[in-house]
Amino acid sequence: MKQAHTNSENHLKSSGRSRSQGLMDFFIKASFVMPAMILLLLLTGYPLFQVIQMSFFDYTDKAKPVFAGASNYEAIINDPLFWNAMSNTAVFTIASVICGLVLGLTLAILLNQPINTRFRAIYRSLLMFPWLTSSTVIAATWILILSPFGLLNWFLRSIGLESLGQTAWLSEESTAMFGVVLANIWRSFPFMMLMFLAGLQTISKELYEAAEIDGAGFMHRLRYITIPQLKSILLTVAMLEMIWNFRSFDLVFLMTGGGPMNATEVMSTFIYHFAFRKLNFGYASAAAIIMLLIMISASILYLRASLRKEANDH
Amino acid sequence: MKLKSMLGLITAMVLLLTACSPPSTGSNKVEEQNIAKEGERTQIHWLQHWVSEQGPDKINEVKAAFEAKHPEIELIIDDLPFAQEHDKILSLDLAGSPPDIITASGAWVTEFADAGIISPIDEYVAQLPQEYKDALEGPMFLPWKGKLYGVPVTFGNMGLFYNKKILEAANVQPPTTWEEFEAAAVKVTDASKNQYAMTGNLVADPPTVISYEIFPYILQAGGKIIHNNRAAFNSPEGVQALEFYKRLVKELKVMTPGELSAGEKEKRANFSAGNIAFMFEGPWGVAIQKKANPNLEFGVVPMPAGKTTGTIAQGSVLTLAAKGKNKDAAWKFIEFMGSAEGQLLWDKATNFFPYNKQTMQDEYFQSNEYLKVFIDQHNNAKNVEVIDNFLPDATDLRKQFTIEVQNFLTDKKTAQKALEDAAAYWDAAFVKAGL
Amino acid sequence: MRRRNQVSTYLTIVVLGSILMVPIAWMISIAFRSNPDVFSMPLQLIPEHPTLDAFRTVFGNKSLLRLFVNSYIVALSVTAICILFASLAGYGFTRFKFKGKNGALIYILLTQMFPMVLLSIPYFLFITSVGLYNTYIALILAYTSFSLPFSIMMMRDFIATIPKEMDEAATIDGCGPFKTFFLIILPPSLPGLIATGVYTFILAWNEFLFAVVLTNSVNVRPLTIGIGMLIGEFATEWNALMALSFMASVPLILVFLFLQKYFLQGLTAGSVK
Repeated sequence: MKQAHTNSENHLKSSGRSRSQGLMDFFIKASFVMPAMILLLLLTGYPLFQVIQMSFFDYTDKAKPVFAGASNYEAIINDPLFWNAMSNTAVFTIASVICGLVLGLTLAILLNQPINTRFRAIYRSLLMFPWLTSSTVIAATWILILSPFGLLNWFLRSIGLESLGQTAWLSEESTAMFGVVLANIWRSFPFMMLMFLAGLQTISKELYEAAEIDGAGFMHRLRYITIPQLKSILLTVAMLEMIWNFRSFDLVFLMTGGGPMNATEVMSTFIYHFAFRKLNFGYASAAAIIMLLIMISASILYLRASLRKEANDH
Repeated sequence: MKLKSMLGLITAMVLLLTACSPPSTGSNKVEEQNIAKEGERTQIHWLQHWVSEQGPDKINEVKAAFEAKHPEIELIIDDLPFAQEHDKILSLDLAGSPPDIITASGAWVTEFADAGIISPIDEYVAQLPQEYKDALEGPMFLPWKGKLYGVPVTFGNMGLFYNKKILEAANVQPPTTWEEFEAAAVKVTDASKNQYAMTGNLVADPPTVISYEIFPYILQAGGKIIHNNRAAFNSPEGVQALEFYKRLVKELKVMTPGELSAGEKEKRANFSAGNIAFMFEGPWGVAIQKKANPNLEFGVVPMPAGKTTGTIAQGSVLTLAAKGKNKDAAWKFIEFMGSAEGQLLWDKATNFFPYNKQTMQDEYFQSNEYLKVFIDQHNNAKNVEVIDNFLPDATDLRKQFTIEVQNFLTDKKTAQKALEDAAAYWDAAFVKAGL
Repeated sequence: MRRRNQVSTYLTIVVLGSILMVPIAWMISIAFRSNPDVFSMPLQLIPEHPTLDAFRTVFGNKSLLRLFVNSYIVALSVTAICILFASLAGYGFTRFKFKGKNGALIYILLTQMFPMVLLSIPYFLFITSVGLYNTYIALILAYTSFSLPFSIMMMRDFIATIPKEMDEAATIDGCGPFKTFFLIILPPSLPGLIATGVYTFILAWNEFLFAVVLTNSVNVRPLTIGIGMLIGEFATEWNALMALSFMASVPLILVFLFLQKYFLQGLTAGSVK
């Protein structure tokens, strides 16, 4: 494959073209990737640069930021609210990803069974709905469901859990995170289910048939065939979801605003709070950079694997 | 290749970082005022949150009336949902392009004033006709740190709303004293039918409930909330009020359970659903209930009397943005909205309650069975206080107070201790604000 | 044995599916109630007196309808930009070798990790300083910033599945890179284009943070913020809110339903090898 590619390049080069035409060639080829890259650099690179800059300045006087060295970073490391946000974000991310993976995988396996195609298509579409709705809608619906007189409590009371069924899930420190995570799992499982379903469909049926002939039960097949075959997708999806959930903002902001008493404050709402409520851009920028660094280092493995895939494929 | 280019990249970055100046928000200098060109109208922006709630038509009536009176000015109405308004005002001020007229909820006034977001209006007020000044006199129109900042545009005090059907069925008259209120509450409560005297609502965030649920009791017991820029609620009257509330919640159990997590919206929703007998609410509640449940039969009476009659008053004011470029024109609008004529128009359109004394006398309000109660209470109640506009960092102080009351309710502190701790917090804030 | 397994599979799917669909059913149920019935006791899934009041409120409010227009304009613009730039870039990445290609790819992967809050700060400061506050352009720029990286990767993965022999055939016939792109590459990448388009549209339609930070009035405000308009200072109109939410979700649901096949194809092209 590579051989053929190089050949076509050489073909162009060796057909007697002059230097300027080679340059022309370069521009034509560049005009494919350049526009997107330039746009991307403008839209993400320059702002990133500015944020790095701002993190080293003191924004007490917003019109005249004063260079402050690493004092913002120092202040953040010593801020218990920051660590609170970090731990909340970790809890939020891990809980959402694990539960979402389990739910998504379960549904994918179920839908991958030999069932009526129409039935599968209908349910697959229905189950995509949570992913298609916007955060405001999800937040509003779940606020209602989790309210003291809402659906969850009604259900709990009807199965006899009277006292539990009076909890104001989003207003109490001990249960607010649970409420938010619940809503988040509901919104994230469809994507995972979809990816797993696609992956399952590539596993050759012969593997399963062979196992069945050998007398392997469902759990056995799951453990020794399905999961190993899905390994790369599992990792990819887990990684992606970790990244997305770590930086999640909308649901928490809309459902609890980070409260009550910072019980659900995650990194994104923490940064928003300092940037747009306290108007302390320097501090917020420093926190944002720290957050970015954490995300990059946590996903180094994912990055390396992606790049290796790049090299292999192209 | 990797290491060298990385080093090169980092060096370039550092050079750029030091060379360029970081983004900032523009200057702090006083804005030059716009001078309208010949034949053009001055544009002023008014930021408020009522268009989404009331619909644009009614608000536009007011706009039309104002523009008819001042043809040289064009009023542009910016609208935001209330939940986003506060933060937006901060951002807009930061960006240097605030709306000329900012609607400030009572609790935001001191915050905006101290942050330099709004300008004092004393100079403009001094030029008003005496009659107008007299009509504005009152608890909402007092100075903060010696300066006036806003003209009240919505106003109200807390009254007692009651469900006519429930009271009739229980053979109970609307109560006028604490004793009668307690007796009535017990009579109408029937937990098995999910019917309660009141919605227990003492959530700490947002801390708006204490104005309805706790402060009035303190005033009715004969106490004060603040006095001479210090907390005054840590008194025997304060303790009395707190214990009365706790009795209703814990002993007599006349309130819906889950009081620590319910807020004013739940209170209104429950009342309109028809299974709650009473609620403490302002005049805005009339329009809200009528819209939420047109079939609900309810009445309004003054709040029950303890040792004396008392209630909390509050409202929103119109303020001048400090960085606004059309202050004179903006003031004309504020003046219009605070005037007897403007208030009448505004309140007829929105069903809100007037602050202007002259407007209150108008037939429209005197003949309205509900609104008359509030007017009477405003004029006759002995102990009326406006709190929000005179607390530094009002939202935070109110939250702390609510948390202390919660501590008392959950038996973590005695009433006295809870009030002492809250008072200490408030006093520290007053001191920090330089008062 | 097969039979029994099948029945239990169907049953499990139906039960699990129903539980997971409850919030949606609840949303629809509230949308058809009158306000006092929203918190009716005892709770019922199906309202006793269904009414179209909420929908009437929404349709009668011009500002609320304007929200749809805003969302469409912004989402469609962002989608168009992303499809165009991403397909060009996807072709460039898969066909050409050039210096810094790896660097560019690393950068694109990196941008996918940016927390949105990080970008919102400089965007806010920049947009206000150039007077683009509260405009469509501001939103379109902001949304493109996070949609573009993913779009590029998606198109790249997809175009990579188009065999290079086709390029060569075109070159031999005398086509330059552009002609090759438009005539040979674009047609078979239609599923990829649709997948990218659908994904970008959904992301843009549902975006919240940038909309909060960069808009101020009904002229430009998209649905995601606008739904919050029904949460008032004193009371929340839940039924209208749910009615509007439901109506806001319908375009996405329709888009997805009709373009599912392509979407799935395009999404999984890269990851399933």
